[in-house]
Amino acid sequence: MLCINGVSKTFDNVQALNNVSLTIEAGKTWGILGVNGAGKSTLLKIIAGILRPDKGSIVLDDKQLYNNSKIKKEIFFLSDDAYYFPNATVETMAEFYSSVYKEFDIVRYRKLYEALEFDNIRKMRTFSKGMKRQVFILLALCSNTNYLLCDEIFDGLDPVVRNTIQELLFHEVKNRKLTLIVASHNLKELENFCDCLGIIHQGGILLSKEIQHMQHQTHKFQCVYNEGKALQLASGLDLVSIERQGFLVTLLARGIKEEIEEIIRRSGADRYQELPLTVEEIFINESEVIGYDISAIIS
Amino acid sequence: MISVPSSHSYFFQCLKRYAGVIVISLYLHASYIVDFAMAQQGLYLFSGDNKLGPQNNMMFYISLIIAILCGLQGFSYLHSEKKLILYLGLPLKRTLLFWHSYICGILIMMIPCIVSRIICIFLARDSQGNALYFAAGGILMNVLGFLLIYNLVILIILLTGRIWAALAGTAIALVYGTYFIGTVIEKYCTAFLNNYYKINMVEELTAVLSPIRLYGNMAGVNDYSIYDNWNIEDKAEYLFIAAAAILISGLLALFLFNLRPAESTGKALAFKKSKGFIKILLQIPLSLIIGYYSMQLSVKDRSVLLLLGGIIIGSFLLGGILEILDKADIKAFIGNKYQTFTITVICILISGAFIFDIWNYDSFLPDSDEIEAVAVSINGLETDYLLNYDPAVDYAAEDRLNIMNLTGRNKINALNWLYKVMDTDKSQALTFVSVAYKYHNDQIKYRRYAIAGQKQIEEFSAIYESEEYKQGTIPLAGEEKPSGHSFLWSNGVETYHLDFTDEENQELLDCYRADLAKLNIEQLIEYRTPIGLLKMTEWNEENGREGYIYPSFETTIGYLISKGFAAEKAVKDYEILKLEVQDRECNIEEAAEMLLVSESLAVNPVLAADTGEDVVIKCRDQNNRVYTVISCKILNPRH
Repeated sequence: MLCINGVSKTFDNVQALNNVSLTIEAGKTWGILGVNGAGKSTLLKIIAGILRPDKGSIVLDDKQLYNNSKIKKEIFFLSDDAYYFPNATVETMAEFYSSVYKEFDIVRYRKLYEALEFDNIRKMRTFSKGMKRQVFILLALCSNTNYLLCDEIFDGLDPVVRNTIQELLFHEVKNRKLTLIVASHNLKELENFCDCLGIIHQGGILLSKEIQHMQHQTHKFQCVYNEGKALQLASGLDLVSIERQGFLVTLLARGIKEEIEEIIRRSGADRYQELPLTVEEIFINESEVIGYDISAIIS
Repeated sequence: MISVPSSHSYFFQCLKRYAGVIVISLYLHASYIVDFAMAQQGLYLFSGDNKLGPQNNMMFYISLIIAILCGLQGFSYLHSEKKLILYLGLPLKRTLLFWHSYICGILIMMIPCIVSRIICIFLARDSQGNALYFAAGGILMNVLGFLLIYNLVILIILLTGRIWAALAGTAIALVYGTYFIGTVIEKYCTAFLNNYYKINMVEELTAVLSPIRLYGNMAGVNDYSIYDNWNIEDKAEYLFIAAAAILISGLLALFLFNLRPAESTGKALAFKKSKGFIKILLQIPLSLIIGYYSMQLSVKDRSVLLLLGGIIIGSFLLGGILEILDKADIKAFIGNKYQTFTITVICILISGAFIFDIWNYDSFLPDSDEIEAVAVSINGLETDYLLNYDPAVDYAAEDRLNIMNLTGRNKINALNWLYKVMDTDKSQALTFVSVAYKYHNDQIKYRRYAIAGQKQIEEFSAIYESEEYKQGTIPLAGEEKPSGHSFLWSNGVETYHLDFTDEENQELLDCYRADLAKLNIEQLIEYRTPIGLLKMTEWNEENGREGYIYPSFETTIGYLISKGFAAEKAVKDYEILKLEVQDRECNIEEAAEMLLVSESLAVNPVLAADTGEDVVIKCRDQNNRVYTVISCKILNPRH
C-alpha cells in the first residue's frame, strides 16, 4: 500500500502541493486528474522519489520512500518526455534499465518489441513520439516493478498508439498485481481503465473515489410528476443533485437502486426511468456537493 | 528473466556514458607518449617536453582537460530536467549515484595515465636513474591535480542549475585566486603603497585559491627546468594543501549532491543560501578592479574621486547584472539593494585601507634584532637591465633575495642604508632596490624602495664590498667547485667555450673570485659597464652560473689572454664594417663618436646605457676571418 501523508511542496513561493493525502491500495489503477499546473507531475515525482517533499512523507509498505533504494525498486516512473541516451537503441535502453531493475525481463521485452515491429538496431532518436512512448512503456512493464507511475503518457498520441498502450497496460494490470498511477488532464483517457480517480486542483486533492463504487452507489433517474407531488421526493433520498423542468425531474442520488426506485414510486411519480451515468457526471456532481465547480477541469 | 548484480552492472552502464571522454583521454595520452618519444630524440611534436615526472607540461594540461570533461560528462545531467528525472528516478541511493559517476571519471584519467607513464619509462633515455621515481611522482601529481580540478568542476555543477552558469563558474573558480584576489591586491598595493614589492601571504593565498596555480606549483611545471628535477620534499607543503583541498571538496560535493533539490535545474544557482556568498566573492573584487581602472583614467595620478565613483557604479552595475543572471529577469536589476549597498560600503572600506595605508606598510623598517638576515637586489646592478625598460621590474630579484643573507655588520649596514632610501620619491627613481627582511621564524617581509641617484648607490659601497652580498648577487662567486663543468667566455662580440682541464677551470675561477673580492662600487661606477662575461655552464649554454668581468679584473683578463682569448677587447677595439642605428644605416665613421657597448654587457644603471635607439654593428672577429653581427647600446656621455 502506498500512503501519501500530508505532502506539501513549494517552488519559489508557488504552492505546488498543499497537504496532499491519499492512500493507494496495491493492485489498483489510479487516475490523477487535473488541469495543467494543478500539481499532478509534482505529486508523481514526489512519489517516485525524484523530488523531496517540503512537508509530509511517502510511505510504501510502511517504509519511507525518499532515497530508499530498496523501496524505489518497486517503482518505475515514466514521464511524458522520457530521456534516452543520444545513441540509444531499444536494446541499449533495456541494458541500462536491466542494470538497475533486478527483475527486468529482457526475454519478454524482446518479444514485445518484436511484436510491435521495432528495429532493435535503429537509433531511438529516429523514432516517432508514439514509438518512443511505446518503447518506454515496454521498458517500464518489463522492469517488473509493482508500481508504475505514468505522467501524461497518452498526451499527443494518435488513437491507434493510445489503444496499443492502453492494451499493454490493461494486460499487465490483469495478469499481475501492478499498481498503476496515471496522471492526465483528460478524464476520457482515464475513465475507461481506472479503478479510482483523484482530482487534483491548485495543489490539493479535491476528490478521490473508486469509480465502480460510485457507479454502483450513484444513480440517475428521470421522473414525470403531476404538479406539487415532486416536493415529497427530496425527503427520503441522499441526493447529489436535482433538476426540475416543469413536470420533468432529473435527479442524481446515492444509494441502492431498488430503494431509490421505491422512494420515487412512493413520491407519486407518474413515470420514471434510470438514465446512463458517465464518470464525468458523477465527478461534476460530487464536486458540486463539496462546493467546487470542476466542470472546467474535467471537460 | 535475467537477474544481475545491479551496482556492478550499472557501473558499466555508467562508464558507457563516458565513451566520448574515454576516446579523448586515450587520444591525449597516446599523443603524450608520441610527443615524449620524439622529445627523447630531440624532436618537437606538440610540447617537445622530455620530462617523465610531474613537471611534464603536456600531462599537466591533459589531466586538466580530462578533469573538466569528466566533471561535465559525469554530473551535467543535473542541469537537464529530462536526464535528472531518469537518474533520480532510478532505484539507487544518491550517494551510490554520486560514487558511480565520480569513480568513472577517476578511472578514465588514472588508467591511461599509469599505462602511458609505464610506456614512457621504457622510452626515457636520460632520467639519471630515477625513472621510476619520476614516473611514480608524475602519476601521483597528475592524479592529485586531476582530482583537485575534477572536484572543483563537480562542486560548481552542483552549485549551479544551468550549464552556462557552471561553465562560467568553473572558468572563474579555476583562476579565482590569481585574477580575483591576487590581481586586485597587486593593483591596489602598487597604486597606493610606495614601497610594495610583494607580500608572501598574498602570494601563498593566491596560489591556494587558484587550483590551476596550486596544481602547477605542486607538479613544478613552472620551475622552468629542462630535465626532471622534481623533488617531493620541496613540494610537501603544496601536496598537503592539495590533499586537504581534495578531501574537503570531495566530501562537500557528496554532501551537496545528497542535498541538491531536483527542482533547482534551470535556475542559475541551485542553492538559495549560496547566492549571497557567491555574490560577495564576485562583486567585491570586480567592483574594486572597476574602481582601480576608473582611477587610471584620471589625468592626475590616483584620483580618489574616480576610484570611489568607479567602485560605486561598478558595484551597483555588477549587483544588478548578477541579480538579472540569477533570476533571468531584467526587472531584477534593482533587486537586493541593501545587499548591494553593503557590498559597496565594504569595497569603499577596503580601498580606504589602501589609500590611508592603515598597515603603515610604507614606513615599515624592522629593528636589527628582529630579523635574522636581510637581502637586497638593486635592479640593473650586475644584471643586463636597460633603463629604457621598466626600472621597477627586476628579473634577478627573486633568486637574489632567496640566496642572499646579509647578517651581522652587513645586516646593520644594509638597514642603515635602507633607512636612508626608504622615503625616496618614486617619481625621481633611477632604479629600485628590492629587499627581503628575513625573520627568525622563517617569515619574510618584502619591500621595494626607489633609488634616486648615483649618491645613494655610492652609499651602498660597504654592503657591496661584503662577501655575503657578492655571493648572493653574483652566482659565480658561490662556493661551487668547477670540476665537471665547462666555462663559456664572451666579450659581447665574440663567445667561446673554454676547452680547459679541471685544473685550468679551477685556476680561472680562483682568479675571478680574487678579482671580484677586490671590486668596489666606485670602480663599478667608473668602469660603467663590464668588458666580458664568464659563465660556468651546467647542462648547456643556457644554464649556469655567471659573472661579469670588469676592467679591474687584471688577473682574470691576463689568464684568458694567456690562453689566447681577446679578453681585453671591447666593441670599439673591433673593425666595424657596417653600422645601423634603429634600422637606419649610418657612416662607419659615426661609430667612433659613439660609446658603444654590447647589449649583453649594458648593465650599469648609474650610467644609463640608453639613448632609446637600438644599434646593430657588423664587425670581424679577433682573427679577422668571421663576420659578426651584434646588437649594441649607446652609452650616454659622462656628465
